[in-house]
Amino acid sequence: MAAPGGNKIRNAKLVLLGDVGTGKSSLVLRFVKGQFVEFQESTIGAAFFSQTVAVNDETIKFEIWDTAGQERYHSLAPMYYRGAAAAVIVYDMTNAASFTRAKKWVQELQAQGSPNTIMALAGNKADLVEARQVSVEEAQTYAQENGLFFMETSAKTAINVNDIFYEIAKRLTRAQPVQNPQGMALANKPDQRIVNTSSCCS
Amino acid sequence: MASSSNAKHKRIAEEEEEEEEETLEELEGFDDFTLASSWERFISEIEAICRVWMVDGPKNLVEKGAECLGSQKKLYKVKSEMKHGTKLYSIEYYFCVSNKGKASFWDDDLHDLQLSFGVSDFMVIAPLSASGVVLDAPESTKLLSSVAIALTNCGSNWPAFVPVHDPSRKAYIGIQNLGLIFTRRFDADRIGSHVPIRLMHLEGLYELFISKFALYSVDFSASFFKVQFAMKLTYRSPPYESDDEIASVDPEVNESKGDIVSPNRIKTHWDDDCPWTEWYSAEDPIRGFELVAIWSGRMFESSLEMAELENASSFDAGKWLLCPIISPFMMDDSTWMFVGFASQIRLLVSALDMSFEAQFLDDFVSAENPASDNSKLSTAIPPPTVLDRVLKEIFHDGGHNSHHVERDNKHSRAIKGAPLESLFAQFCLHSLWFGGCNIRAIACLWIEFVREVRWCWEESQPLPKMPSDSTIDLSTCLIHQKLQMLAICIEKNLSHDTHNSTESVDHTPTGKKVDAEVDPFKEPVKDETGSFLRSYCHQDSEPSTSSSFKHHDYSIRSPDLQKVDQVRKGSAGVVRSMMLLHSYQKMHAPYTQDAPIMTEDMHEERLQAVEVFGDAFSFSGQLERDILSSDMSAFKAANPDAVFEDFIRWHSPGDWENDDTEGCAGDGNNWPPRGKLSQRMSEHGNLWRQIWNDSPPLPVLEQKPLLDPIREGEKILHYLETLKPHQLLEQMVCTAFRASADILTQTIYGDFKPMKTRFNQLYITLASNLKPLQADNLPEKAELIGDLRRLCLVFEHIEKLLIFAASIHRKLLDVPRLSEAMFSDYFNFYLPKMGTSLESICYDQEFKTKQLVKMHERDAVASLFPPPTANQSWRKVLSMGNLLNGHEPILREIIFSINDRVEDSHYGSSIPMATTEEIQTHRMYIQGTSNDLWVALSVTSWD
Repeated sequence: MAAPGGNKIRNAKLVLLGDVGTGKSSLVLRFVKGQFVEFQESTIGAAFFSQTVAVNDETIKFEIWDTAGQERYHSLAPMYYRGAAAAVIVYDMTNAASFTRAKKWVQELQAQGSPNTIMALAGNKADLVEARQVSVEEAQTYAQENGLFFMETSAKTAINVNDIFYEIAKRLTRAQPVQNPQGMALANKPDQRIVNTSSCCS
Repeated sequence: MASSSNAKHKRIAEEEEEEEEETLEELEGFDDFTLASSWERFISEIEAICRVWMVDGPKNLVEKGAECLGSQKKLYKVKSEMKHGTKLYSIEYYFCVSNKGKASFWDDDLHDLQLSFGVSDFMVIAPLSASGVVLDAPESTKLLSSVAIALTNCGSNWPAFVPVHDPSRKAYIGIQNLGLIFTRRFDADRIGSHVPIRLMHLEGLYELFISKFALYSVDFSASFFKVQFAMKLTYRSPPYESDDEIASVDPEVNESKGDIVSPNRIKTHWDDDCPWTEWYSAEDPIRGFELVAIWSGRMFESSLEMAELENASSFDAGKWLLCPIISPFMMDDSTWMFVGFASQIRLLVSALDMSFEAQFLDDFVSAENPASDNSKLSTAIPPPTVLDRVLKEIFHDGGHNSHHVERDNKHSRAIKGAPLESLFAQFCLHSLWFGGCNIRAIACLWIEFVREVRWCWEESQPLPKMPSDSTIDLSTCLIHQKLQMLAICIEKNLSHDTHNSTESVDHTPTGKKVDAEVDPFKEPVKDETGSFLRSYCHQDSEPSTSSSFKHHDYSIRSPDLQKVDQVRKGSAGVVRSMMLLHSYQKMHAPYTQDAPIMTEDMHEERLQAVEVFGDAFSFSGQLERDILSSDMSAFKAANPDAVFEDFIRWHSPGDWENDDTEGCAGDGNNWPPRGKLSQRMSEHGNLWRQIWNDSPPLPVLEQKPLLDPIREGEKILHYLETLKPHQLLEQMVCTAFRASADILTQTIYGDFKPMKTRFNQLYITLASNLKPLQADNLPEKAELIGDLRRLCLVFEHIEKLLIFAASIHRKLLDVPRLSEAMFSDYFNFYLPKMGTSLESICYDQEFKTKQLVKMHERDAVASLFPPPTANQSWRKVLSMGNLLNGHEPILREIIFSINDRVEDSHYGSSIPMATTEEIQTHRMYIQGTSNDLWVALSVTSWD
């Protein structure tokens, strides 16, 4: 578990969610291995990867769960996003239906997931500009309304791929110290203990 | 006085020396003749003290730590002590800070002396004896003169008071210099019993006041007196708990028999319809109300008018103020007087503390355990009869609650417990009130609980109080998840059994159903469910035996179909508008297996295994691959002529690219469908295709189940039976907190805003502070228990406030504005107590904040004072007037005063005030009831 200060490695579970064929696996592969396969095999179930990102004096080790987009696997999704520090919801910007599906995922995470999970919205396949069906403005507005951060990415050209993971890592380091801004403080609680309790819940 | 002025100058030059330095002077041998006698020294000592106070001024004194009096922080007190002869005296200076303008002389925050004599800042000198009262008259006079001289020397016009007589009389004498001319004298005394009848009535009191200056040698004639009058009457509503006997017996009954509702409970409690009454009965935090009616600023000229006023209704009063009388249990939490969820959870936390001592719960029940003989009281296990009854309640009772809509409270979900109405939550709530909620009682109840659960499992009885949906809510605690899973396993077993026994008979009705679905073959298929039909393998919808019905339709079309249909197995019906690629047939959606359900520890196990194996792809998707394979087998069975592409079209439509040339997605008449697999699916060596090739056509019923209900069920029971004590207690604490909060939040209290916010905050606080309990590695035990105890305290505050809110809301139902205002007054008063420390603060203050009652609210408030019954009214002889619904005031306070225009004839221009100003010459404050009278008089004179 991460202690404040010092160059410690902190593990962070990250899950990718989104419709079939939006490029979740391609994004991960680009981020983890720097590769791109034009026709990435459809994920069966879920795949696991890990990759580290250094932010300032901290290192975040992402444990990435790349899930399958098929409806059939929907009921298994909770175990992947359960306890996740971050979730990347991916849609295909050349496919309006996948954006609708992304919104459903956001809803589900808001209702079922942990409130501390950082959510990112990725509009993938940004290289296919001529086939665009979802406008940047629309996605941006939606992201703002729901407290997500949003980027258009392209696993093919690597645009924004590292950036989106780096941004998540940055937010993770920032989010950690704040415990419960709206709750009541318990009395006589030494400060260092507050830090302890907050770091074991990720 | 002239003699002391010398000393005065000297001392000013020395810039206010302290007492010690004066004694130093003496030691040096300087013989100040003005301090010759001990009395003179005493005066100068007083003077020195007063000077220090005067120079400091109120602001500095407050900074130096003057004691604050009253809740509104206006009045402060500084104190000093000195010796005269053999006696010690205390000298106190009371002063007001901030708003000089006196808002009202009925201000609640006024000190007795301020109220009685109409002064603001003042001094009190009293001997430091047990009673604090000067007993003999010469001493008191001497003391008062000393102070008067000292104050004159300082040029101060503070009034000074000396208590006289015995303390019960609250008698004072006092004096105040007003400039050079006027002196005010004060006198107060009390009659504790046998008040003369004349003085019980306003008329007589008025005459008493008149007599004070009629004696005086002023040339007023009695007829011109314009007496100013103000009156304050305090009424107290009859107590709500009038039947003392039952009220005092009940708690004992509850204690001795657990939560047995005593059958002879005649009395209805105030909180009978509050959500917490199922578990405990709270004492009413509001004992009653005090109503203050104020008449102010009236002028009277004759005693007749006074007599009339005595008959006036209290509705005529200019002002009504209302204040609740708070039960002591609301304030005094030092003795753990309050019994509610918070107190019981505190016991549960202690049980958690103990639970680390043993490995198994049975250890606590067995007698040899050394932990059990700490103290007999806290380790008692209730008798078996009680145990049986509680178990029955947990498992069988509460049918009345079953329709209760589970509120999807987001805050509540954040606490990792079981939902309120669930079996485990009910177990937790019952154990809170089971015996003394000690670890032994809990262990005993748990063992019986698990035994009962096992019985349900073995007898295939559905588990009661479990949500019926077949998913597991991972936000709940593990025990609840396990029970949910067990309930599903029992259900699966049951359906499996019934399926086997009824398979042969149920084909007719289901066959018809399928027939109806297939029938539209001649007509366009109606859009029924969606892109594909997915069903569950329930016994009653298995259509595989119905081929004979379908046979008619198909046989018209093609003789081949009959053969196909006969081998078709496990179809859930046709998929709309989908034709198979390689045969002229409708695509059938197969029944598929439910995705296996898992509890969080199973998830955890899986994920950990994957993480250990790293990027080994073959492992991570194993479960999903099994599902896929199962789906493929089922699909193959339902569509014997299907190819891989057909499966993809059904299972992952995104991977099938329709040719654009195809017409509208119609009724499947343009066969064969044109299109192709997505690139990624058609790659050589595609894993999907491999699995497809490897999957045999098998309907769901013939497949190996993804979830083995018998094995999983046994595993769950094993988990429950071998659960470590602390694991049980940890989950119980979380669930108890959550369930209690969920019960309390149902309380109807008018949604007062501060309460609402606080309650939501409570949820957040609970959620964040209970998190460490779910962590695999617990924080240090002592720390954890300490935190949980503090959490209990926070909970208790909120619980008490909520009960108060509920009480005041229902009592003042017709005047919501008033109840809300009073609640927020009380809330602000209570606030400093909250979340401060584990040791509770005992307030010495009483809650006295009054709320102004508006005109239109008066009727509702008056209804708090129901006319007394014949029984009640006989007890009292009513002797004071101004009844409110037949209730006599419990206290009457009156202020008479008379003003006079001061003439500046006496000492010319040296009068400090404007010559035409009116000053109050006489003022009388009277406080009392019919048998208790306290009178304070202040007289200004210029002799």
